[in-house]
Amino acid sequence: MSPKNKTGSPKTSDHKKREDANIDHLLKQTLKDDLPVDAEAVMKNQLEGFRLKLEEASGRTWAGQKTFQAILNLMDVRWARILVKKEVVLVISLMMIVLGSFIHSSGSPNQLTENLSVLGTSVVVSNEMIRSQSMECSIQMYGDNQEPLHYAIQWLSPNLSKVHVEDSRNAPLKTIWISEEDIVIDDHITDRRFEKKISTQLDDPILKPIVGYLEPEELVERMYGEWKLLKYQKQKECAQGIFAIALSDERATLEVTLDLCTHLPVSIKKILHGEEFGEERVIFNVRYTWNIPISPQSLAPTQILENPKG
Amino acid sequence: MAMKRSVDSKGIPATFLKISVLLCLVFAVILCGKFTDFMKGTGFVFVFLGGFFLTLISFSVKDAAFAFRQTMGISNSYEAHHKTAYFWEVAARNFWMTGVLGSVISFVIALGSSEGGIFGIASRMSASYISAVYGMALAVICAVPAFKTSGLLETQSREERENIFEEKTGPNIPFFKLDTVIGYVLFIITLGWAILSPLLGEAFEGPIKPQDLFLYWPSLLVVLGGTIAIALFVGNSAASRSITLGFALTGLLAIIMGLVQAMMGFSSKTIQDVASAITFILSSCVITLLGMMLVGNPLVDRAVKSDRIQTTQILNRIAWLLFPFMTLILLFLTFVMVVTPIQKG
Repeated sequence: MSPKNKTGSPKTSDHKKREDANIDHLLKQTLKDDLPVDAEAVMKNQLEGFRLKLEEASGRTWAGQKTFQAILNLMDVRWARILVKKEVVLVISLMMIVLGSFIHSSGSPNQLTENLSVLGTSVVVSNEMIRSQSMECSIQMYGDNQEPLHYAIQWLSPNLSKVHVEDSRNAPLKTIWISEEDIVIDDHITDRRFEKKISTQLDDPILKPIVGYLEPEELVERMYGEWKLLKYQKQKECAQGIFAIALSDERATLEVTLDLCTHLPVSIKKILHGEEFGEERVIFNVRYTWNIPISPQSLAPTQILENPKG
Repeated sequence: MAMKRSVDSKGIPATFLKISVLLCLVFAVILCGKFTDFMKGTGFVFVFLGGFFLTLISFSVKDAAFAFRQTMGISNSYEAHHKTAYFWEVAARNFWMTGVLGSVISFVIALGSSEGGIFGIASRMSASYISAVYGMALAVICAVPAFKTSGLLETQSREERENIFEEKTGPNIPFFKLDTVIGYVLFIITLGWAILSPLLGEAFEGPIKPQDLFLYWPSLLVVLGGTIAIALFVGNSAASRSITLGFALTGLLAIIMGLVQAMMGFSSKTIQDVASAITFILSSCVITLLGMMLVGNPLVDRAVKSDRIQTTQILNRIAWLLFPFMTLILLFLTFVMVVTPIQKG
C-alpha cells in the first residue's frame, strides 16, 4: 500500500512523482556543468555572499569578514578563504596571545637591563659613598708641561680633610687641613702658614685640579648630576664594574672602577681626548681606600710646620 | 525667529569675552613665572596638534565649524545639540589620550638617555608628566561645552527625542573620507615627529634604543590577539564598539602580567626580569593607546554618528577615561622601579 498524501489519493502522489522527474530532467538539461569560467566565478561569489549573509544573520561571522573576503577575492587567493572563517581567526588570535607570552617569558636579551643595572649601581654607589666614614686616596697628577704631582688625601666624616702634596721627587710642597670652620695651609716652599675661613675659595693652582675629589659628597654630586654615561662594563671574575663618564665641561672622560662587593670606587682615571696629543692621555689617576680607621687628631693641624723644608 | 537672532547676537560676544578672560588667565600664569617647570613648548604642540588631528579622523572640518557655531547658540534642535555635545566629548577624549601618549613617549625617551646622571634621568622622567597635564587641561576646556550642550539635551521635548530614536538607522557613513585620511596622515606625521626628533638629535646618546621599547613584539602580539579575540566573542552586533573596550581590557591584562613579573623580579632580585617587565608594560601601554586612538575610537564615533544616538557608550567612556589614567599610574610605578636599585644579597 502506497503512503497517502494530504489528500489521501495515491493517484495524486504518482502525478507528483512524474512532475518531479520532469523537473529533474529539465534541470539536468539546462544546468549542464559547462559554464564559462568567468560566469562560474561570478556565481560562486554570489553564493558565497549569500552564505555570508545567512551566517551574519545567525551571528556566526565576525566584523570585517566581508571586507577581508572581498580583498581575498580581489587578490584571487581563494585558497586563503579559510583564513577569514570566524573559528580560524579566533584560533589565530589566541595563538598570538600564547606566542607573545611565550616569547616574552623566554627571556630574550633586553637592552633595558643594562640601563637599569647602571642606574641601580650608580644609586647604590652614591648611597655607599655618602654612608662611608673615612677615606684615603692618592692622586697622581700629570699636568701640561710640568712635573707630575702626587696628592695624598685623608678624609673623615663629616668634614675633616687633610691634603698632602708632593712633587715627583717626593719633596713636600703643601699640606692643607680643611675643617668645618677654616682652612690651614702649610707652604713648604716658602715655609709659611696661611689660615683662611672656609667661605673663601680654594684658588691655589696646585689644588684646583683636585677640587671635587676632596670629599665623597663632591664626587657623589658629580656622579649624580653631571655625567653622561658612555659605557658600563661589568667584570664578574674580579667583581668590578667600570663606568666611563663624559664630563660636560671638558673633552675628558672619567673612568670609574667600582668594587661591586662594597659598591665603592676603587680608582678613577681622568682621560683627555684630543688629536694634538695623540688619541688620549691620562691626566690623573686616583686610588681609593675606604672606611679605614683614622683618628680625628691625625687630621688636626700641627702646631708647627709639618715636614719643614731642609 | 527674531528671538533666535537675538540669542545669536548675544551668544557670540559673550563667548569671545569668556575666551578672552581665559586667555588672560593663561598669560598671567605664564608671566608669574611660578610654573616654569610646567612650560614645555614641544609637549604642548604635540598634544594640541595630535588631539586636533585625531578629532579630524572622526569629524570633518565642516562638522567642527558647525560644533563651534552651535556652542555659541545658533540652533536649538535636538540633533544639532547632540552632534555638538558628541563633537566636544570626542575632542576632550582625544586631547586627554594624546596627552597621556605624549607622556609615555617622553618617559621612554628619558629612560633611554643617560645624560645628566641619575638626576638628569629622574628629572626628565618627572617632566614627561607635563604632556598629560596639557592633555587634561585641553580636555577640561573641551568638556565644558560638551557638558553645557548635554545639559541642553535634557531640556528637549520628549517628542523631539522620540523622532530621533525613530530615525536611528542613519546614513551609512563611508569610513575613509578625505578628512579621515588627512587626519590619519597628519596624526602619524605628528607622532613620528614626537618620537624621532629627540632620537635623531645630537643630544641623544643613550645605551638603549627607545624604538625597541615602543614596539616590543610580545606586547604587540598579546594586545592585538586579545583585542581580536574579544571582538570575535562580542560578535557583529557591537563589533565597532567592542574594539576600544577590547584594546583597553587586553592592555590591562598585559600590564598586570608585566606588573606580576616585575614584582617577582624584585623578590628574586633579578634585574633581567624587572627590565623585561618594564619593557612589556611600556610597550603594551603605547600599543593599547595607539590602538584605541587610531582604530577603536574612530569606529565608535562612526557608529554613533550613523546611529545618531549614544547607546552602549558607558563602557567605552570608562575605557578611554580609565586606561590612560592607569597608564600614568604605571609610569609612576616604572619610575620607582627604575630608581630603586636591586642588589643581590
